[in-house]
Parts: sequence; C-alpha cells; structure tokens
Amino acid sequence: MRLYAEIVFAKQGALRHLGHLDLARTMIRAVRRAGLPAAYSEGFNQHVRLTFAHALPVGVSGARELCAVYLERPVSPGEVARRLSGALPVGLRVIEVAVRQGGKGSPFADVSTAEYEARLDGDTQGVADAVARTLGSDRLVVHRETKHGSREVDIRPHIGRLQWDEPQGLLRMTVQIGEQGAAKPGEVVECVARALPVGASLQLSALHRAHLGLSGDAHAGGK
Amino acid sequence: MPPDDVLAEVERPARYIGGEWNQVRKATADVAVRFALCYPDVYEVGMSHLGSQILYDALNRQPGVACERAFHPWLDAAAALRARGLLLGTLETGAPLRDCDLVGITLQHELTYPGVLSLLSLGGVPTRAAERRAEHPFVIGGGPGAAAPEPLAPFFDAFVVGDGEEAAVEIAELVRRSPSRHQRTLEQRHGFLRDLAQVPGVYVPSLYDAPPGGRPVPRCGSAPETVVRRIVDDLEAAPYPLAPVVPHCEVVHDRAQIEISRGCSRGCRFCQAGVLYRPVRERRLATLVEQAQRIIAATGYEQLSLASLHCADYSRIIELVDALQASLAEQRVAIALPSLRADTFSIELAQRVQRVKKSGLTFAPEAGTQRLRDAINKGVSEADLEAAVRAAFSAGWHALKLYFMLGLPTETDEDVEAIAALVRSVVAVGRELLGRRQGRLRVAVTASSFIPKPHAVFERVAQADEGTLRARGELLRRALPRRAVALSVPSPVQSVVECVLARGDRRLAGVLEHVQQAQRGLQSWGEQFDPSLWREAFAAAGVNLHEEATREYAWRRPTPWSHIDAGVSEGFREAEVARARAGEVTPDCRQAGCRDCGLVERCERLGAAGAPAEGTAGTG
Repeated sequence: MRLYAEIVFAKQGALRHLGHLDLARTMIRAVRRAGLPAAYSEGFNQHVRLTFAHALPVGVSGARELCAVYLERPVSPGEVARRLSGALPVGLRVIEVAVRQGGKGSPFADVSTAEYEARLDGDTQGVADAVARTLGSDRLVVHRETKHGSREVDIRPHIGRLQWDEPQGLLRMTVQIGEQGAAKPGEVVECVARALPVGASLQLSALHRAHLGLSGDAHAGGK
Repeated sequence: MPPDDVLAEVERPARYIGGEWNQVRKATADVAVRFALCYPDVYEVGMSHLGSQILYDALNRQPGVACERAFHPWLDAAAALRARGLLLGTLETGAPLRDCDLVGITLQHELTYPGVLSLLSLGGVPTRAAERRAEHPFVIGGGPGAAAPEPLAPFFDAFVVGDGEEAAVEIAELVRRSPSRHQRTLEQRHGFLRDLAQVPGVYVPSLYDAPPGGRPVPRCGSAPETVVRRIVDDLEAAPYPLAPVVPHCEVVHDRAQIEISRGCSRGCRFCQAGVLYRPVRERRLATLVEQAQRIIAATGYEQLSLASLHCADYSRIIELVDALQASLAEQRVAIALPSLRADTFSIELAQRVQRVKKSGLTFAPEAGTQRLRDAINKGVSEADLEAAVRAAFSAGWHALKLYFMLGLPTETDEDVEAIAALVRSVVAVGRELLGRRQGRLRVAVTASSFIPKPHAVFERVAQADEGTLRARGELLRRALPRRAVALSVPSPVQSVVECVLARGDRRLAGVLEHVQQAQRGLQSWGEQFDPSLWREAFAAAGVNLHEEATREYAWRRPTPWSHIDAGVSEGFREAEVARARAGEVTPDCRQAGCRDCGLVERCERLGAAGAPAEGTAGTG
C-alpha cells in the first residue's frame, strides 16, 4: 500500500496559462518548499512523486483539480493543507486535503467525467435551440488530429449534461474523459455552433473546469 | 500582463504572466523609484542570467525602490502587441517601460543589440536618447557591452561599467533625490545626467564628442576623461539573492545558483571576461553553504549550480562540494559544476558530484597544437588533456564535448589539422577504454570563430577574414573522423558581425536601427540571424564589414573604447601580445606571483580589506 495526500486545488487567474508540465514543476517545487515528507523516485535525478488526475490544457482554469503527492510517512491532512498553502504562488489554492492509502495503480483511475463551463461570444441568441438540437442528434462527428493523422470520432456517447445558461453566457457540460472515450469541450462547442442557423457563429472565449468526477457521480450521466 | 486575447494566441504564454514565487511587488504608495530591469532576449534566457537576479535583489532591498522585470517578447507576442497598439510592460505591475523612472538593460552579447532597440520601442520609450523628453525614463546599460558601448551610445542615457550591484543602488538613490519624472524640466533632466556622470563607473555618452574611430572626449567638466570600471571589493558584504524568483515555466538554467567566485586569473589572451571581472574574489565556504541552504529552502529547486568562471579554481573546491553535498543530501539536491577545465583534478571533482549519471562532459582546449595553446595562454598541455580524457572515460562518461576556436592569431592550416588529430586520439582513447560500450561513444566538437574583443589581451589583433574562417571550418570538417564525431561550426558571418559591433564606434548605431526596423526576428537566435540583412545594414551605413573586422588596431592609438579603463594596462596587453607571438606562456598570478597587469592596487586593497582568509587574491 502506498500513502498519499490527495489534494483538491484550484488553478485560476493568470496561472491558468500554465501548461501541464509547468503546473507539475510548480507543484513539485511548492511541495519541496512546504517541507512535506514527500516520497521520492529512485535513481540519479530523484524527484518528488506526484500525479494529477487529468491534465488541464493551457489557458483553462480549474475549480477542483486533483493531485496526489506520495508520502514517505504519515502527516495530517490539516498539516499538508497548511504547509502547502503557504508555499503555492497566487493562482494555485488548496481546497481540501485527504491522506489515503492506495494500491499500485493511479489513485485517480476512476475519474472519468469532467464538468466544464464554456464562455461563448458571438451569435448566442440561438444557442438554446442549438443545444436542444445537439442533444437530439444520434451522432455528432468531429475530426480529431492524432499522431497518425486525422480521424472521425462520434462524440455523442461521451456527452452527458449540456445546458445553456443564458444569463451567464455559459455553456455548461458534463463530458466523459479518459481512455474509454472522451468529448473535448471545444468539440462540443463546435457541434453546438453547427446546429445554429446558417451564417451564425460562436466563439469560445474562456473555458473553466468546474469539477472532475467518478462515472457514478450525481454530476454525470444526466442526459 | 498582456490581455487574454494576446495570451490565447501566443506560444508559451506562461512567460508573460509574472506572479512567480518570490516575485517582489511593492505597493504603489511605497514606490518612489520604479526601475525596469530588462533583458533584451526572451524570458527563458533572461531568467537564467545570474547578474539580473543579483540586481533585482539588490535594488528591491532598498526602501522606496521597486525593481521590476521585462523581457523581449517572442516574435508572435511582439507582433500581437504592435498590432493592438499595446506597450510592453513589466511582469510585476504591467507598468509600460515608458512610465518607469529608470530602464536598465543588460548587454551580454552584441547580437542582442537590435533587441535592445525593439525592447525600448515596444515599451514606448524613444530609442534615441536625444529624442527623450523630460518625463521619459533614464535608460541605463550594464554588463560586458557597457565596457565598449559606442555602437549603442546614441540610445542610452548612461552606462555602468563593471560590477553593477553597488552602482545600480547609487543611481536609484540619485533618482529618488531628484525631481520626479512629471515635475522636472528638460533642462533638469540634462542636469541630472551631468550629476550621474560623477558617479564612479558611470559613462554618460551625450557628454562626450566621439570622433569616428577615435576616443570619445568629454565636452564638459562634469564628465570624467576616463571612466574607471566598478569593482566590488568585498563579495562577502555584497548583497546576494537568497530568495530568487522561481519561474513557472522551464528556463535555460532552471536551478539555484551560488556565486562561489567572481573573476579568473588564468589569463587566456583571447578572453574578455578574464579582464572585465578581475581580480578574482571568492566567497567564504561557510557563507556559501549557508546561502545554498537558504536558497534551496526558499525556492524548492532540485539542482544547485556553482557559478564562477572556473569552478575548479575555487581555493577550497573539494571541501566546498563535500560540505554542500552533506548539507543538502536530505533535500536531494543535485550539484552542478558548469565550468570545468580539461585536467584530472576537474574529473575527480565531477565524479564527486556525479555518482551515477554520466551525462556529457565539456572540455575547451581551444586550439589543436601546443604551440597555439601557448600563444593564447591556454594553460592546457597535451598530457593534461589526455589524462583528463582517460579519467573521464574510465569513470564511465561516454559523451564528451570539445570546444575549439578557429582563426586565432598566428593560426595556420597545420593547427587546424592538429585539432582533427587531437579528436582522433580522443576517439581512440574512448574506444580503448569503453571496450564493449564503445558504440555509445560520442564526441561533439564545436569550432567557433575567434573574435577579438575590447579589453581582452587580443583586443587589437585582426580577425581572420570570413573566407579564411570558412576554409578552416571546411578543412576541419574534411579532416575529422566521421564515426562517433559530430562537428558544429557556428556561422563565420555571425562572428564577423559580432567583431565589428564589439569594436565599433557610434556610426554603427545606424546599422542597429536598420536591423531593428526590418523586424526580422531576434538576431541573437542562431536560426534567425539574417546575414543578408546585416550586410545590407552595414552597406547602408557606409561601413565595410570585411575591412573593419580584419583591421589591426595599432598600439598607443586611441580606440572607441579607450576612455573606458577596465583596469588592465595597455603596456601589459602589448607585452602579452609580444609573448603570444613568441609562443611564451604567462602563468596564473595566483600561483606564480603578480604579473603587474595594472590592477595591483586593487589586489592589495582586496588582500588587506578582508578578502576571505582562506582565499587568495589575484588577477592574471
């Protein structure tokens, strides 16, 4: 069994422009500054062992991101939260901490859904109808560029909730993430834009990840 | 911070957001002087520069002074700012350079000079000093470029020659005591510059007449005839950043640094740094160990680099490395020795810190024959080198980098062929010692062009012409074995341009403007260096690139940098060049006694005024 601190944190403000590797580097140095009893990898370049549930793309903020820092010895969740909070730059904030025992695999193997809020600009008056049409479609095919070239993917099965919050100008969605199949927020916006009347267009001006969840969570699946 | 739509469209936006750990941001009410410390290259390069971190720390220690950083944006971001009419500002507060009290720019390398101009123009500051109005910031240059600043003279209000940590604080203090930007008249601005010229080490170019090719002479009594390089006598008492800014994104040197010593007394005759940082000053061992602990605790860095011109020359280097390893073992900090010499002592040192991983090791023999190595005073013998190479391969290294120079004074084709012979013998030793692992043997050879630089012993010699440099590079390429060897020869044109800019006068200002206005990239980035643009710019300014680079400057005749006294006397240089022609070496003064280079008084003062008891003073 391996001991780890599960850290729920927010990445916001200017720090949303950090890429995943930069976030990892920043988190590792914060853990070292905090003096947490982190477990280190073996070998020449020993580094703090930590892992994230799911990479957050450059430019996207997150309200409840997940990071596991492996520990060498037990430490109270309150202690982790206090020390780490004092070592994180503005824009990264500890929300809550749990200290757990885990097996060999990733502690976040069960994380399979994500809830996003996409701020939309452009011809938004038709979005409510477009969302309804999108949810009514059996197939939503998008092109995805991969290392092996471009391929077509049906993302319909991977979209859970999709809701237009007119007053806020936010398109809220719950999508599946991970290896079993995923829908990317940009792709969902693209599908909604396609369902608009001819000539209308939408721009995704900001993206925020509100939540990462397990497939069984109440957040997910509600079509 | 640039607006979101700019950040959304540029590569690596994290370099423009600021807010890094240990960034210093002072409340506006507490700020009397805003000092924009600029690096004329991108964030990743500028944030790796130790000197800038030292100045940032020294200035921010002053109450009332806010030192903030600005870097040259990458091309996409620069274009985005221009297209939207936005000004380049500091990372700390976003204040446009135009609205700061002082703009300090470090001059590390000649090819960043066009970047200096675009940095100013992006920040809304008129590039020519003569066009600045009363409320504009004072633009101050520092770093090695300030020791031969004439090509940049029309763009700067002042330069600081030599160590900057004390002078920068004095200048900020002078600004604090003078009328503020919005209250002063143009006449008061000029008056301030006359006051500034009184600060030791400060050169105010607008107070001098500069005849083409000649020595600038003061036009008024408030400017000194000779500007004497600033030297911090006591490094122990000098401020050092114990909580440096930790970048979010990966930078070139992404690690903690302690400055173990400043200066080098080896006396290589081609070397400018060897003159500009004399005499050698060391920090005490106990101080360094304490500084290292505090820096690691304050930053969380995983690696600590020992900054100096030559690590192995630190008088108690073995003890230092052992003490650092012992005190930082628990934090699992790896120690890096960035500058090693080609001798067995250095290999032993490298082994002490690299117990497992054998990444590349770099040696700089500089020349292929003993005759030429003696002529340049590179105190490395064939035997040293072979022993070092043997030690390295035996200890498990399998990749070596070897640095050489082409076009050194007195060089012949024979010397170049000897480089190939030397590399062949390194490969042979590698095959012998690596045995079954010889498939992993890699020898990377870099042969760059020699550039005569102001203040170096070889400052007045002619640079080999471009054709010769190219031919020697080709000769080397043909003579080198192909298996296990990779050769890199940086563009000779680039070194010719560097040479002319390094020794140039104010006529070259027009060349820099021409290159900057074309906006064809950052010329300091190899792949963006544009030879045809530079040729065009020199032609437009009526400067013959070839003639200027290959010109031999006569002794006792004024040069455009003769008014800058770096400390080493002309007599010493002339004698050293004569010894070079005769193939005579000059031993390190720290071992063989004073060679009377001109700095003897500074050395004595240093010896008397508490140079570390365990260290030794010396110049070269």
